[in-house]
Amino acid sequence: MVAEVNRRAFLAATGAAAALGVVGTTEGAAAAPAAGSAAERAATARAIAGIRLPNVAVRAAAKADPTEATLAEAAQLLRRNVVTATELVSAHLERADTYDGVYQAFNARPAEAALARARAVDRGRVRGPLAGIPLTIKDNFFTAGVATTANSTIFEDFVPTYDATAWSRLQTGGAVMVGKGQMGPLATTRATLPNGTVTTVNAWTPADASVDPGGSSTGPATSVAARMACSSIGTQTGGSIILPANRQNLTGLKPTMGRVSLHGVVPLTYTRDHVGPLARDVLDAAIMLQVLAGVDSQDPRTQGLPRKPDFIASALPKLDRKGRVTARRATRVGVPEGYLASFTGEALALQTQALAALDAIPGLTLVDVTYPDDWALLTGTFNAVRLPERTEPFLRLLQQDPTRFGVSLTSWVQGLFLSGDEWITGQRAKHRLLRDVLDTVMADCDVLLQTSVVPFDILGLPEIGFPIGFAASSAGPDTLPVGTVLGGAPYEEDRLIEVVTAYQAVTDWHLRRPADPDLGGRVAGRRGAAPRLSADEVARLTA
Amino acid sequence: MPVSAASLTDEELTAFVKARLLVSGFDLSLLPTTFDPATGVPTQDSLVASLKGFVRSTPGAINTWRPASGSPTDDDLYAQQVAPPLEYPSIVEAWTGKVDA
Repeated sequence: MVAEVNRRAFLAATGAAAALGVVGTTEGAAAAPAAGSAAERAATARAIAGIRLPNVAVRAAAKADPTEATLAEAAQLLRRNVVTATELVSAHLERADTYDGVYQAFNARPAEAALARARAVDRGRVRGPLAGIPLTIKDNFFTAGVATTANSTIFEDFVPTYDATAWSRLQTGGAVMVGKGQMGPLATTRATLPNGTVTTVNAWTPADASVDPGGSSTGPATSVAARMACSSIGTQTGGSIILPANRQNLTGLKPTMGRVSLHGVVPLTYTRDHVGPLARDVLDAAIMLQVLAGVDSQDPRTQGLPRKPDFIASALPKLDRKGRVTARRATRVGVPEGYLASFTGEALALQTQALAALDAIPGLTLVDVTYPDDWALLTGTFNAVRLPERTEPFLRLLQQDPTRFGVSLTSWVQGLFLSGDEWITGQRAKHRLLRDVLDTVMADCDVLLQTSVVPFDILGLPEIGFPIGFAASSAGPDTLPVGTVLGGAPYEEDRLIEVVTAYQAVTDWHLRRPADPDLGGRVAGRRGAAPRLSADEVARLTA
Repeated sequence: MPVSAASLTDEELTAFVKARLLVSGFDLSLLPTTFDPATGVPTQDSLVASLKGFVRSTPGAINTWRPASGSPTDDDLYAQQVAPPLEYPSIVEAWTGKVDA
């Protein structure tokens, strides 16, 4: 047992750099080995083929317009031959043809390949739980034969020869990629051009590019909210799944570190990068995670971890004898001291309502929790400890031509200004923070409302973001989604899914969709000058 | 009175930042001297100014914190193996058997 733990610890310390050696030399990345052995691929295929999606009550709106459907609804419409995969994919592609000039959610749209794959699904040549489901894949996932730019000039000519494991698993499940999702340059901020010019807008306020759509998985979020894709995957290093989900009325799930392989993902910060879904509701997020999660021989961080639970079963509402929605398990929801005081105005009212709604669900209990004394320091200034992890793999390129980092350059250079002893102190601080969270803050609760995404990103713990209402925006009252975030114990994504499942069974915020953009009687294009972020803003906001 | 980055003059801090960049092989002259809208990259002066702010605020806040007591004291000196470094805290929690399977 000790030898086994030591072997894994060694792999963890040394394997990440080898597994993800993509930076600065895109030629090297293209020459990296394909994923896994034939036996491993066959085992993965069998496991994914065995995933069964639940029968759900398909809403009338989804029957009338398949782009309205959740993933679970769309899969059911396909199973029952109400729509074909070609029709489903075409409907999403047509919306993108019409509206993506405004949204700018994609930076690549392999439409012909998507249609060809949809036709293959209809002919029975592609099967699986996600067969025919149109997805957006964030542009930092390697996609064989399709450009993978991470929205940076550094990777502008890079076409991978193999798929990221996460995308490979979704394909094994039968999914169809309708686009590469626009993102913050190198996964730093909301989506902009590499020079900082804003691209992707919030699907709820398409006429106002100043409204934050959340980043850096902005394109995946906007594409799903705007019904140009049924679901999506993004990455999170500092809130980049949770925040765009919160800001665009989606359910975003950042799993525990290691649940989903990072093989074939352009790294931002090795120890904090996570892969997860941005979905229309919690059932869709659970389905996506069920397919995404698994051991990958190419990523040592996925090995030796607790068994994958049945996430889909966790996302099915449970009713008591009186027909009331109840929690699947008795769960204590931790409310940090001063939680509500961190909000004002409409957001405060909505957070208060959400707490009341959670508290009213049988089986859920709100409990007060307190942060330790140096919480603000360890989750604030110590957040900088991540910076050398983005500097080190890119150093050769920083030396050769720093202008290729564009507006994002500063944080890559900041990493040069922490010494080795300071980086080690930061890793020791993670140890202290982990014990603070698990032994103190979460000693009396099972899930914890988050006042910031940073602590659980530092620790690699799971988080889920979900909608709780709407506030006013420049587009009018009740037009700006507001969400909240729950964090969980290591490898207990199922507990988070259970809580949000119960909440979404008694609320309908997640069913609302944004109005289509006003095209003004012509093919849409962005009107007026787009705002742009400065290098200093990006340095302050970067994930 | 302990010394810190706050003791540095502006000129000393500028020299430190530029020297560190050179040590790492980073050629500041590759950046523009005036704003370049095509790349959005910071200018030489704005990058140096930003890095000076980072040096003033961040390394000292990290290197004066200690795991045992929160500040450098004899408690830390006599508690050498407290909080060994963890790059992947959640994974170590699982690998050490502390997570329910």
